[in-house]
Amino acid sequence: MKLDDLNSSLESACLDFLGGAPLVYHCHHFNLFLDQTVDDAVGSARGWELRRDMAHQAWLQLLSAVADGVGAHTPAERLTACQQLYAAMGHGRMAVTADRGRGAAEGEFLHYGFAWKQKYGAQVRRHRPVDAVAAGFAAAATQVAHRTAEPLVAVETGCIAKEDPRCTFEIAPGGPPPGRVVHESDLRPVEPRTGLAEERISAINAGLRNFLGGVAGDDRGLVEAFGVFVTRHMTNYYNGISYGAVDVVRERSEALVPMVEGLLRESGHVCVFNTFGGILYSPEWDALVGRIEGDLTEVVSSCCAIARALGFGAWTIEELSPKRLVVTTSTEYESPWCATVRTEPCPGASYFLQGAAVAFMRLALDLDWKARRPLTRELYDDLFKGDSRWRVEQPDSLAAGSAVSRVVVESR
Amino acid sequence: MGDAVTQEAGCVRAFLWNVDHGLPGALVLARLEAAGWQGKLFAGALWIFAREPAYDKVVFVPATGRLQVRVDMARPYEERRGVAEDVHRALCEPADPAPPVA
Repeated sequence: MKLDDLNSSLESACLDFLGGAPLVYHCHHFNLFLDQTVDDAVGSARGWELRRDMAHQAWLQLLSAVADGVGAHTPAERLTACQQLYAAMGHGRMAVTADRGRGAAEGEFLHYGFAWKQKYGAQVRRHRPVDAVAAGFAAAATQVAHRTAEPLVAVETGCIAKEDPRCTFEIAPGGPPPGRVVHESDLRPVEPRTGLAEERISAINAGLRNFLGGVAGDDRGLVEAFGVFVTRHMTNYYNGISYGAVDVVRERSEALVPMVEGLLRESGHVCVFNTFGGILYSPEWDALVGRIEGDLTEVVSSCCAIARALGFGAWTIEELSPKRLVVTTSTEYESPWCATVRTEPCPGASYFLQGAAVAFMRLALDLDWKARRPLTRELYDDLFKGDSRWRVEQPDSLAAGSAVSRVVVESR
Repeated sequence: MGDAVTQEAGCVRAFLWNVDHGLPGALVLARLEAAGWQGKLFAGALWIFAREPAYDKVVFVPATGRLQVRVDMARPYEERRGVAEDVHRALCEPADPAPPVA
């Protein structure tokens, strides 16, 4: 079986899987921001451990399924399958030398390190490595190659983000045993919901998904589409670090939890501003949809279509006016983690969905689409920093047993 | 070259460049090909060109004439504008300006 044959979708739900592992597309801005949020919330040392361990367990699920699925038998074959997958997902190139129970790895164009250097390298000197996702991969790939259950852990000994010449890793026994993660089989097909501008959203989503299906990484393991560098990434990682960080902070001080939740919502702003904004500005959008003019319904419905195409769920518009947006969905990628993995419920906590919905209104109403200002840090700060005139609530949550997740964005 | 090559709105510094050319679509395709760019048509509406061994891309929308150069992110910043200017030269000051046979 080929790698592509392991792709599957719950099409009515706009959720995508590879070997049963739930995957979405996210860009480097979101990826770097979310990792930094975790470090800011729990401290850089604990943050690194959390990110590395969640990456490890998410990769273990995915790599095992893929190595088995493509019929790789020998350690060398299984390792090759893992490395090819890593590059195909836009994470860069990893060369792993895997012995039973230990190994070493070297990375090139690693998504996090390379992107961090591009984005911050000229302004900030970094003293800590950045590639926790690659570290998790290195340890998981070594285990999968040799089909060993004994946990391994990788240390990033060199990182280009801290001006080392290469990203290097050493892999040795250690780390926690992997925990439960979400699998495709945890999710059930849902009745498709319809909302405002449904015909437009469905048509654009179909066009975008068709286009994305033809997008491939280059031989460095980088994937660029719509003028944005993207990864295909594991929702088990995103959810594991997000809800894991909230748990760590809650253990320390309940009073600090809202601060972390606010940052997790902001990850939705970062994604929508950079990725969605980049897509809407792109020639691909001009060709597939038509140049965007900036009408409220046009922008918000376009954003819902993009969310669906990236695998975030079947987001629909229940209500829309210049003062209020209600986004409803019978599927999204955060709630399954809460419902499946956590022992305690997390109602009303689809942080990314909440932040993204606010950002839809910001883009639609506060951005001058005719001027097409560059998507710079300054513009982001203009739109999203300072007093927000928008408040967001989530009255319904799939994680709490509701039939939908519903997010309400209202002008103050 | 003046205003014919301008930086585009994008989320990576000096990554996206708009090239104004004023040429019909068929001539754009022919001149890019003559300059060594290899194109692929997507959805019947969008051409994406690459030129190995570099990782720069040219994205062209025939219906509107919009042409965007995406410079390899691994290039130093100071080289990036030059890539877009090379594309402009290939289009507007080609070595062999003869139009293609229709």
